[in-house]
Amino acid sequence: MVALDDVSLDVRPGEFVAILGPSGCGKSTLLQIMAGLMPASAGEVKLDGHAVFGPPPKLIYLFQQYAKSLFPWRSVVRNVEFALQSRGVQRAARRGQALEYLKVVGLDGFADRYPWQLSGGMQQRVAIARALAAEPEVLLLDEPFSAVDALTRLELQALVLDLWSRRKLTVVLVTHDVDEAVFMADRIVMLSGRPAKVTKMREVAITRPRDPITTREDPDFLALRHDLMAELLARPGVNEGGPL
Amino acid sequence: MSRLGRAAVSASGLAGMLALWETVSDTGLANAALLPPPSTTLRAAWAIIASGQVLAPLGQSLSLLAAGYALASVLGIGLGLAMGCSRSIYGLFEPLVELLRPIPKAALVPPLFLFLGIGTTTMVTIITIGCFFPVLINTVQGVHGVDPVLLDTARTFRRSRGLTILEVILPAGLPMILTGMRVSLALGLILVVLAEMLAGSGGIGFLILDMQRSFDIVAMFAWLLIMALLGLILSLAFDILETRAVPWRAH
Amino acid sequence: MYFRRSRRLLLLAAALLACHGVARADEMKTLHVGMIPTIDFAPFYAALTNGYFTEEGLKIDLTPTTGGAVGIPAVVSGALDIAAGNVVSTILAASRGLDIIAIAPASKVRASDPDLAAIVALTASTLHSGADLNGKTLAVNTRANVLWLYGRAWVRKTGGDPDKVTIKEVPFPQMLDALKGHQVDAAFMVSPFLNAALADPAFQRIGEPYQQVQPDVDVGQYEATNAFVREHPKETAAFLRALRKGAVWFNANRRTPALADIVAGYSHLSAGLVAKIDLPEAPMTIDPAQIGKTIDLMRQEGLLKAPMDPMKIVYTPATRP
Repeated sequence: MVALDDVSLDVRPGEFVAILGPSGCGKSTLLQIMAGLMPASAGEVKLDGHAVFGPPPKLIYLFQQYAKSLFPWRSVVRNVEFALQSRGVQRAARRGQALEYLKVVGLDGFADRYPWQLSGGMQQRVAIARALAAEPEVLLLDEPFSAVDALTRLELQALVLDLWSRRKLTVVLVTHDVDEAVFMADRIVMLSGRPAKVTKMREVAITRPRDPITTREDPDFLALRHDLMAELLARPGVNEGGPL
Repeated sequence: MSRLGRAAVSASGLAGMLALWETVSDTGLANAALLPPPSTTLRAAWAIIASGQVLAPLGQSLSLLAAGYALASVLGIGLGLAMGCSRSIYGLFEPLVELLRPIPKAALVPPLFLFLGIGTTTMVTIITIGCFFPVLINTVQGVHGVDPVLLDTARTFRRSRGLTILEVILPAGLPMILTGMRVSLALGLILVVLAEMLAGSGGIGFLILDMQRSFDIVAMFAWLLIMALLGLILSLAFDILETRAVPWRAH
Repeated sequence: MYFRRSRRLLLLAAALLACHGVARADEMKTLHVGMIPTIDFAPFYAALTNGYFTEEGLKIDLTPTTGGAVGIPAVVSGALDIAAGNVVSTILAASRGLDIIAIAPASKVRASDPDLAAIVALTASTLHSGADLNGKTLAVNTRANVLWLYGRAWVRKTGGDPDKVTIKEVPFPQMLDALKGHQVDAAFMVSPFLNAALADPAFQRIGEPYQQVQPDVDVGQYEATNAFVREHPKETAAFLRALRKGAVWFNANRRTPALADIVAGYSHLSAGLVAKIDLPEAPMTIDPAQIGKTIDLMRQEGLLKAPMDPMKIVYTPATRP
């Protein structure tokens, strides 16, 4: 079964790219290929000029099923320590450093709890903390907020934007939520249904830092949102065209 | 029903069975010489325990079980991990396993005694072979059943294959492995008793047979009861250890 | 038409019933008997082969057992009516309150009977006495029976410590293989299997427990429950008559090919081998004095706690009709 047909994408360092498309269109597959977790049957992926054959260094992929990605036999802090172990951090220093990362996501008080004792939003934050502990340059997020409630989603979006700008990460976020894509990204790549093709690329010329309330009332935000929603729902948009 | 309620129902079921047994033996419905009533059996069993008579045979049977069980678990988990993680190793051993597994291990006891003699080594070998297969098969299943998300997580963090097996696959497969070890424990106890009956040199199994041969039926039933208690205690201990080892299983 | 046919059918039915009623008077009774394939019970097999049980209106349903220790529980539970057993198992069972009694003798070992029972070891081994068996394995057919008791007594008498000898249960027919395969160091074997061993230079006799501990000891017996004897006096009497006839025939035909064939048949040894065995006379009565000596030995070896009257296990038809 062909998942992706003709996808070409260049991500600039420090950029926040959102890949937007309907469910099942192959965006997760694209992300996993980019992460080196799945081989491409044709075409290539390059990171910093090097071809990607397996999970590359300095890149962490965050799963859609983040609850399942946390190790249930390890406590929250020990889950974060897993990333530190992989980086070769000495045993004595691990707990302290792990707690730091947990503090960044606001979970240092839950260090010795177990993943199954936390809410969905908290579990996602542990996954984020663990990803950060690997000190990556690139983060690939696969629909990271689709399974949490609306309020938690807003909190997590703010957290990710904050981390992205502070640590100068490159982020590729896969989502089916137009709102989310426009709110968070520098550039939006739209994928059609299976087999996926890139149908549109739009720069998001909205100023940063972005505010959860006011940005969402910005006319540029609304216009872009309108266009993309229309495209998704296959209706003619207000500002059709634009550079592809 | 509350926890207390459920416990009361179980207890009443047990009490009812004991009452029935007592009646059957006391009224002569069953030959009391061949089926002593629970009151007599319990008293005899208590006498054996209280006097310390139980210690030597119990120690002998338990150490046999422990040796065979430990060896079987190490070998079973080891080969199980190898077979689960490597397609070629799996292909190499799978036909052999499928051939040997269905053989009731109790049937292997007489031929093994014939080929290897009737020493402690043979007995430990019997128990090891018997306990090996459930652990092996469940370990393989446990490995195969590990959530791919966990494996991919280890991959995105670029953890080496060996460390992934040790730190991710083994703990993830532990619930399944423990299920196999529970089955092995029950099987191991049966094999210990059987081997002891045939080897004739001590242990609870030997005593049960010896008491039968001497027509000391009360003592025989008392030892049977002690053996049943041993099985129960081992099972409960295993439950407790399992809950500690895999606390996430319930969630 | 219909009437006539149905009347004919009625007549036929009545006739059949009458025949059946007549047959009832001397219908065959089935006895469930447990048997051990040794020389001790050759008279039984002789009676069986020569049809003496059939003459008495008895049909014998035979079950093989490995010894009295196995046969007696079967008799007590009612699975068997009569079982081949031994004096020690009977005494032990009776002392534990089991309802068991010896209804007939099977065998006794006199000082002059060399080839009935002996301790056998590989000729290549250096075992010659009970002292040599310390720390070794001795095979008997079942524990806590006559061979077990006299085996231990012999070990003690010839300088060994029976508690240092590991006793392993091996059925009689398998003792030879167990010795060859080094599963056991010595075996207390009985005729005819003993004779097969002694005919083979690989094996040697190292002791004769019965003759050395208690010559003229009563060994084999036929067991039943008092309840059975009480409830089936006719069948019991018939069995004993047929058995006695078999014993008489056995005693008269000890050196004949006919007997050799019978023994070879049930023991699965060659008739030629059996023909060479010097068979002793089968006893006609149980000897209470010998049983008393066995009881004493059992008390010495710790198998019995309290004294017992030998007559407790001896069936005497005069007092028990």
